[in-house]
Amino acid sequence: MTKPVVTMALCSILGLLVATSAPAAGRPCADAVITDWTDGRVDGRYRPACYAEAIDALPEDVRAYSTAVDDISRALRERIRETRGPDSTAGEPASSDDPLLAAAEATPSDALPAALVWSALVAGLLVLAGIALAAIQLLRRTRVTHRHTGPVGQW
Amino acid sequence: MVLALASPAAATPQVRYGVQDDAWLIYGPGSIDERVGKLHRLGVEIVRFQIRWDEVARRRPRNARNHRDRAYDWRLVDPVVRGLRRNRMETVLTIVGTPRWANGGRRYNWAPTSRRSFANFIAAVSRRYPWVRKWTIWNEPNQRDWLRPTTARVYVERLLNPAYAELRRTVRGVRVAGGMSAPRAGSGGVSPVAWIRGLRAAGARLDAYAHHPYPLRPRLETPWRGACRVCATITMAELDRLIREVRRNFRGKRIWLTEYGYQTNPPDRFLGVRPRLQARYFGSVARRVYVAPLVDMLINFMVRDDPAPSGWQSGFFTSSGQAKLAYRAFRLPVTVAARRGRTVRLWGQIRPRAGARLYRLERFERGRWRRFGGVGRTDARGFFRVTVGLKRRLVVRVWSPRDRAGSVALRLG
Repeated sequence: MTKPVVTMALCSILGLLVATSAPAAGRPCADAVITDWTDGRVDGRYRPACYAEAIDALPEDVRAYSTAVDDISRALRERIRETRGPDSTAGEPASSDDPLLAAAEATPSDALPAALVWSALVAGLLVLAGIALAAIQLLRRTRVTHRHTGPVGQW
Repeated sequence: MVLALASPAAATPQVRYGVQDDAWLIYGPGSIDERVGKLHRLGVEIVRFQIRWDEVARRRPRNARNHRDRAYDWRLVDPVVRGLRRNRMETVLTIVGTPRWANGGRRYNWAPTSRRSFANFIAAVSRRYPWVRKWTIWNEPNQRDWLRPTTARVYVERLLNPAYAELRRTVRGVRVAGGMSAPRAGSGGVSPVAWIRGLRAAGARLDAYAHHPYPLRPRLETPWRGACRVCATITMAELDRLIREVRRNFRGKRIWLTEYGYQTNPPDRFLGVRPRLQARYFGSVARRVYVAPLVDMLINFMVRDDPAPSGWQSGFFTSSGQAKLAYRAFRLPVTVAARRGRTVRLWGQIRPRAGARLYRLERFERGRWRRFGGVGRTDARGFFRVTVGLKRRLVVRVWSPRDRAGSVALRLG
């Protein structure tokens, strides 16, 4: 295989690795809440949306035969109270008392998580760099080959 | 160190220790006779088996009370129930699940629309298996996943009382348990405390109240401690609450604990406890129900772990068939019953076989198990109590010479 192709291939693989190693949107967040809960209490602090995602992600046996739903919901309510402050609920419409609705409202629906954006950028840059390097090497090789072959008929 | 061998337990309680694992009984390795033989070697005394009405009677039978009606399909049930009988294993049958033709085309968890349809099926089952004396009606009806509408009145009027009347009429010496509650209400359900009271208000007829006292915070709760004092849940740590409610609402009736267990991690990383802790709890819970009044049976849920992560992993074997510490712990449960200064009293049972059984104590010293004290003899049910005097820390186990097997090790002192 030629050097430029190898270079391009290597940079593309590196770019892919960076892209796929980026955390999938939401999953580790929900996993972290559930893992935190396993001692019966959610001690850490997470984005409000993580608590709702954790409840959705609970395995069936945990949902039916444990207090996980109640415990995580309670932790979500406490987290919302913390983020909003002591007087923030005064005068708000009744619908936002629902902690799950509040968590949904707190998360912009179309925004990608920051980690995913940065990973995509880095991966894209790596691929472009690989293409550029390969192009440069190809140009150099063409010039060298042209110098060595010379005019036809010399031999 | 002084060892005193106490006399066998003065009174023999009625509690029976058993298992439930429908999938393993139906589809497990080997023949049904081999599987039941394995249960005997484990020391299992009673097996709970669930019959799905919606699977046996997918089509409406012409004569619903006749078990030979062509609409009935007993192919998965017959080998298990007859195999249990052939191998002299006591059986508790649970009937659950409504066929679509009996509830207006709905899912299995919707109650039948008529009071007669369930009673007719009970009649058919009891005629097909007339030797079965212990029955439980439905499964966890206080949760929406198992019964809708989720009310005590629907359960009593359309399921429990019709079944109770039918069984009383057809089976001599029958004992019927109702309630069958899960330890908590779940979403849209009814708490077990409210369920027991609701059953009484609806005029429930039963010989025993059945409940599933799973731990709801398994990493915090033991079979004795960790109960929620202000909740309407009932776990094993809250057994006193169940006894109180049954005495208050169903005076003179017994208690059957028809499902229980701790899952292990691995593989269940959310609810599982370490395998050694699961094993230790077998001894602890065995004594819990032994000393509790009214309790006639304790059924461990699962023999072999479910391979699906969202399933249950509270068995004696992993999903690939490897024995966990729980296997030894179920066969030879042992626990510390009391401590006083340098004296420790152990309580336990040698479960396999019948009649008085021999046992001895061994201590782990310099890399080997060494016997100490004499050979003890259990009571007729295999129970024993023994007092150990400690001069230093000890790791001990109970050894059954006849079974050539030891209990899980206990650290004393």
